[in-house]
Amino acid sequence: MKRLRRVKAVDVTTLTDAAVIERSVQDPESFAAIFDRHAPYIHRYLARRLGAGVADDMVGETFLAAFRRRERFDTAHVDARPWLYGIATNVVSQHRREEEHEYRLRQAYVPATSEPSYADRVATAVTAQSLRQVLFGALARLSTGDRDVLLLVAWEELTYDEVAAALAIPVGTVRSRLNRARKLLRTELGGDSTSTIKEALSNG
Amino acid sequence: MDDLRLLQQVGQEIPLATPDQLAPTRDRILAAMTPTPAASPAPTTIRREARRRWRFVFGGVAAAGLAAAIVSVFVLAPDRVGGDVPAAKADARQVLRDAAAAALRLPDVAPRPDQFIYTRSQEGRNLHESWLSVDGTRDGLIRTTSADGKTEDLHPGCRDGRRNAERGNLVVPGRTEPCTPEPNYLDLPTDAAAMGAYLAEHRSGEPGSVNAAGKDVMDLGYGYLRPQSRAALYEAAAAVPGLRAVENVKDGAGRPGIGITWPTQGGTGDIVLVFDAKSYAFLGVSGSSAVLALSVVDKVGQTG
Repeated sequence: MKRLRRVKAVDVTTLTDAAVIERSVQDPESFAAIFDRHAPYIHRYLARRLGAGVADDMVGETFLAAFRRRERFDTAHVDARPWLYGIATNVVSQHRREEEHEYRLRQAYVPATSEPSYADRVATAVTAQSLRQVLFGALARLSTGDRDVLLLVAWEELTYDEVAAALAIPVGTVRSRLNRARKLLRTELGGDSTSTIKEALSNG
Repeated sequence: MDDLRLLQQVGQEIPLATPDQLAPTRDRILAAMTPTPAASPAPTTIRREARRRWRFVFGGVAAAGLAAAIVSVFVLAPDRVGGDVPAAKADARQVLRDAAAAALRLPDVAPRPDQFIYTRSQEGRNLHESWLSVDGTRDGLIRTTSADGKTEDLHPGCRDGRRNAERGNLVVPGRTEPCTPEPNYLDLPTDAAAMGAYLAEHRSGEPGSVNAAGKDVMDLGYGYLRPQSRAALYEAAAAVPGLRAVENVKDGAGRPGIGITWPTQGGTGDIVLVFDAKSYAFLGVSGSSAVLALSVVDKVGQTG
């Protein structure tokens, strides 16, 4: 215990993720700093994919898994978030049924908080029930590998390199998976819904 | 219309979690992290044990050798499929070992850096064909055929540290960006023990995890592998306990086969990898995708 207190004297909040994780191998509690920095984002990612109902549990599962394999973290990466996204994506892949259920729920759900003053016309478009049907339906139909890449890019705003690091796949694979996923999305959004979007964009 | 922007909009419906909301989880994790007399062994100990288990698993495979795999028993006799007689109970390890043995009988083609990996696959209702540069320096192509027609996307190669810039899916003429070549084929280990070590080191799952093993077979199985590497991949997966065989499944193109699946935590939406029941070739994933062709070709557009 004395040892733990002494190492804790250093303010871990000033350290990089890589330094904190390195330190946490000897001083497990310092890993809490990693949770504090990244948990809100990882939680949102899990809520987006699995639903708000299970996100609390899943974020716990993700960080415990991260903690258990912290020695395997490549400290050449300063930022731990892509690594955490990778672990969270593994957690998601173990809950595919919940994921598809969440997309089905959101096909029908129109956000209650959408304000009339909200200027973005695309947002207006997406509140349209028919478009939600198509969009979430397409998400549920994507292969998991393609969906992981698409959502890490679109929702979590990771760069191709970060997605590659997160999923432990080559950047070339990230590109081809993203291509494939967007192709399917556009195919599904084609036909009637295209005009819906175009209308919403031009009229809104 | 921009599909990514639409997607971003629905993503924004979900807010970031607040510290208050995360507090109970934070407490739970801190409690699990902090070593207490009542707690289970320290994480480092668990890790070392896991490593030992992993080594043991693959050590065993290496000792048994591939010879054992080749002397395989066909657990699924063709005359017992689809008849009135209940099909023999298939064993996942045996299916994978049969698949490994079958892989070794395929012609061994070593891809040259100047060649392309040709893949034809079905994903849902769409047919994809891709020609991707082996060493990542040549321009590749992805062709998608859907109900709405055919689209083609260039996949710019990286030469002398530059490649054609892209915006969205389109190549911007005359503009280049810095890059490093991204190979589309890797020489992977050729024996099960080395493959096991490679997967533990480079893939995303926990060593020894059946989920990681299953997903590695799926991800790597879709790409081009030389016969010995493919056999090693299946052998390595066979050594991980927990995989289960499912009979009478169909891949994404409706081709029947025998499935390999594994328990996933909490969910019942399992992934089922489909192998041909006679040739033991990897066909695809049940209900979602199918590999229709996979070969090494000299030119973009060439299909075999």
